Amino acid sequence: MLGKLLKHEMKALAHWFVPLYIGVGIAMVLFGIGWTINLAWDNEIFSTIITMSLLFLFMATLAVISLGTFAIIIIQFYKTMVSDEGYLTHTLPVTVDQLLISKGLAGFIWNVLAIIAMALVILFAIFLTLVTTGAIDSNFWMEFVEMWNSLRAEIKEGIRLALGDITGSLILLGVEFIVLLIISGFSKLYLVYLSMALGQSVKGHKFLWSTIFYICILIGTGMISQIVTTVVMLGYGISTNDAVFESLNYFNFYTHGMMLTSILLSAAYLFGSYFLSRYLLKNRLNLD
Amino acid sequence: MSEILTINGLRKTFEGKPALDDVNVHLQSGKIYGLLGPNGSGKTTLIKLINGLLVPDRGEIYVEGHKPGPESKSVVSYLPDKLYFNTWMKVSDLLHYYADFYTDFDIQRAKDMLKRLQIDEHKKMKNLSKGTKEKVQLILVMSRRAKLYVLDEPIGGVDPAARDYILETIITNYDPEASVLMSTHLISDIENVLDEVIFIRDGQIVMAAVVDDIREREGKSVDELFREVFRC
Amino acid sequence: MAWHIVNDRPVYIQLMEQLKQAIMRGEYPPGSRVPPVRDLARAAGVNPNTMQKALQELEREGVMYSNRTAGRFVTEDLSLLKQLGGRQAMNYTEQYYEKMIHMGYDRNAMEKLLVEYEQQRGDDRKE
Repeated sequence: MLGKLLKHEMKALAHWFVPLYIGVGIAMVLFGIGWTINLAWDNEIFSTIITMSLLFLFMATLAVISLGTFAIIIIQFYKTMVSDEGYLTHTLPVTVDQLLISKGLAGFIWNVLAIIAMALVILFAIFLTLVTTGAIDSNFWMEFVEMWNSLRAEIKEGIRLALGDITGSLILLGVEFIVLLIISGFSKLYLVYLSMALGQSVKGHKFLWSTIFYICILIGTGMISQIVTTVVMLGYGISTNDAVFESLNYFNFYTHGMMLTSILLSAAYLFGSYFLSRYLLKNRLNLD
Repeated sequence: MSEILTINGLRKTFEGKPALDDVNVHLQSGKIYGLLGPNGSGKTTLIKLINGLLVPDRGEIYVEGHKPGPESKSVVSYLPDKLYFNTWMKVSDLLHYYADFYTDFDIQRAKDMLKRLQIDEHKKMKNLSKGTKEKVQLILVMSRRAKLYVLDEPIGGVDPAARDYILETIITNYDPEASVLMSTHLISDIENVLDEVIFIRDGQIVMAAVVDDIREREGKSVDELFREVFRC
Repeated sequence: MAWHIVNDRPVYIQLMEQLKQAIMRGEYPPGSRVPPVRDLARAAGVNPNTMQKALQELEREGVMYSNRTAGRFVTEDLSLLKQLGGRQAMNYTEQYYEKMIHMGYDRNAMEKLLVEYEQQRGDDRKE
């Protein structure tokens, strides 16, 4: 059942995302064309106009991808769980858990795709500008790689002298970072779902109340996170960042400690919002 | 014959006021029941509770021995009084959706019914008229070989031809192993199709009787009796 | 066969009456097969259980009989069917008589009205 729910969820979201990404593709083509025209044309005024437009196009594309993804995911959740479609969704022979998990997974997948898309857009823009203005050629690449390597070697040496071999620590940090990204990716999503689960339990103006709840949740979790991280830092007796590089222990405690704190906070938000949503949708369902 | 729906001592309150109070219902298989009552009597609340869209404050509901949940939902086919599918889907998409989630969905029967009504499977839902959308929804619900069909106001606001089609579908769909529960306030149109009626007022069951017994005993139609009982 | 079911009399009784009429009209000749319950119910726009009850009552009266494997059939007992006609006629007479008495018509008034109606009916037919 979960697989089927996920499949249909992906299909429903794709219905909106495919046109979105086609639009993004068209925007990128326009960007390329515009850039080429800009190079060919010599008129200064025209050039300024085009450059400004391209900049706008670039920004707009990124905004559309990020905001559009957010909007599509929450509208889909709202429509299928709170609005009239809820009569179909909530009478399917599935559990609330299966509904919540399938929506969380689908949302997460499309969020990851959005991040990849934005990265591609940015890289595309950078690559285009650098290549066409002749700033990049084989020389450039060789120099760049050389500079990058020597810089890296210097940093490594400097750290080794101060703290010792932190390769293992860095790898662990990398893993922690990825874990944090994944957990917070889900927790952000489920916090939105929670605000809608709260909003639907109210009698009227459900969408308005969902928004209000969401804002409160954002503020609330923001404050909690702030307080918790401050307390943890104080707990370490660290008041400035200078101490980080004074010893490996400090470094480890600080970096891994903060990472773990963030991970635990996100996990708490994730589980809290999931189970609260589940309770609300199971026992306090209130379709109009 | 078995008991398909068992409800004991059901109570549901909204904002302090009881929408349903001490409701007891027992539906047997092979029968078509009418849930009759004026607007606001608790019909829709009762139906939502049976379908697990609301949770009771007190009392129990069992559908073939299951409390409302995934198991009960797999044997209950529900037709709400509103349209509930997203509009970008095509009719055929909807058929496959239903077939995917409900093992008792008879897709061939649905296709036959659509064809008889000349509804093009490949059309998008949003391009169909409201009446046609309602028919599609009815066809989907009635094409499941469920144990309990719950129809909320299936004939309210439809033209006589559509009403006849709906009643005909219910008759044709008759299954001695299943029960049908129809709620309505338009009684005279459907009396002849009902085995038994349940009168509900202000959240309480005031009468449960066999249609022909009422006619024999009272010498009047169920509709007339209803008007008497519910005279404001 | 056109069914006409009214709301203030038990359905199954009306179904029985109208089936008997159909049989007497020759729509279901003696010995012929009776359509399945579901089809009859759909045609009449009634609950299949009620139609089943009507058919079972007709079986009890001997108007129909069922063969486990082959289905349900109209009786071939012609004398019974004739009696049926007689009984139905008496039934209608009873209904008519009671209604007219209730309205204050005596036997003479009823006869007068019958003649008047017959004449009118004949005139209507001519037109």
